[in-house]
Amino acid sequence: MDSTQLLKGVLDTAVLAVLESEDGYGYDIVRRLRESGIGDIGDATVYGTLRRLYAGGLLRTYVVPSEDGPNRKYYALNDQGIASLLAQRETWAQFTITMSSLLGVSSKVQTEGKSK
Amino acid sequence: MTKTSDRAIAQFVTDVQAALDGLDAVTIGELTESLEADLLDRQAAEGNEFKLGSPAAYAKELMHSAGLAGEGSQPSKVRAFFAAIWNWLWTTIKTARPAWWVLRGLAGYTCIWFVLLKQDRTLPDNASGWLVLLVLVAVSIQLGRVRNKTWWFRAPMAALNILALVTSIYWATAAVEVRNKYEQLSALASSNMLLRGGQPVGFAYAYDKDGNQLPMQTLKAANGEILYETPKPELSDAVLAVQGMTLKAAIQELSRLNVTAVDVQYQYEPGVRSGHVAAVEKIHISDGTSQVLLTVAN
Repeated sequence: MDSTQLLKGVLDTAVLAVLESEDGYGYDIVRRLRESGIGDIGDATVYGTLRRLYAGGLLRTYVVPSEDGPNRKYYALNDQGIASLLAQRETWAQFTITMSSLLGVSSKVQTEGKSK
Repeated sequence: MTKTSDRAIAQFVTDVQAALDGLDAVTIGELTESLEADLLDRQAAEGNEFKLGSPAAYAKELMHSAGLAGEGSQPSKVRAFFAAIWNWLWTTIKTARPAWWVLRGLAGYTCIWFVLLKQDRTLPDNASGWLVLLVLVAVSIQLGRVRNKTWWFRAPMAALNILALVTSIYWATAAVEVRNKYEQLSALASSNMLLRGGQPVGFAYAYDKDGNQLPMQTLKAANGEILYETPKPELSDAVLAVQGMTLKAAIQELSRLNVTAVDVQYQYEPGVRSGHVAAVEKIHISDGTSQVLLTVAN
């Protein structure tokens, strides 16, 4: 299965989840996404997603001056963003249960465990 | 691989901004405000593996992920104008859907009446007819409110809508024809024209009980109003030429011109010598004979 297509559907949720723990600026968010295992993603895609989430009212921004380079724009969840993340987390949990059941993932894992 | 210079990164950001041309300045600023700092960070993290790539492709990816794909292509003013018209039209159509549901019910009523009773009727003329119409309108509205997207609902609904549309067009055309006819008849009724069966009469003749045509110059209504007046016939130049002749010479000339009936009236005519013809008037034409009235100065 092409994970890139799957990622397109959940990138918003992933970005919101990254920002839940700590505010971040553009490349910092890209780096944290990659560290979490989402490596196959372009930085422009993340920057565009950040702008879209901001335009959608889920994020707030603030600028932090840099002593040795250009200023950095930080992104943070606002109340609407937090609420949206909670809702998406619920949806994702339900979705994964449904898909796991449909694909028989748990029974296959059990079967493989017994055979060992 | 050599390290990409800061100047190259700054130039890349400028090129990306140029490739975003078509978006408004605020949006471009939001998309690229800290791009240079981010690219510098990425360069630091990736080291010699760092590549900038194509600014156009980068801009396209930015716009696509930001949900701005299509806006960057900067539609022409003409396209934007027609798009705005289309949006307005589509919004209006969607807003007017309830009106269509009511009209569809009325079209259904007209259709059913025509198919079952073979009567071309637009609106009911009795209570039961109105009841049927109200039920059909209510059903049509309810069908319009259904949000069913399945083909087995949409297909018959499409056929029903087409039938209702055709019926509505027929009904509207018939209504326009009736209106035009009404206006035409109203115009005729209020005019001074002589009408029979709603049609204007071009000429009227009177006949006696034996079927002989009677001389008629004026047709009057019972209240004395003139309904029709026979146009006075034209006189030939030869007949008119008797004006100024003596009465005797005039009669001789008219006989030569086959004018068989001559009436003479005498009256004072200043400037005309006594016994001379002052005026010539044809007062009747019937069966090939002509009657001429000569006015002679006394």
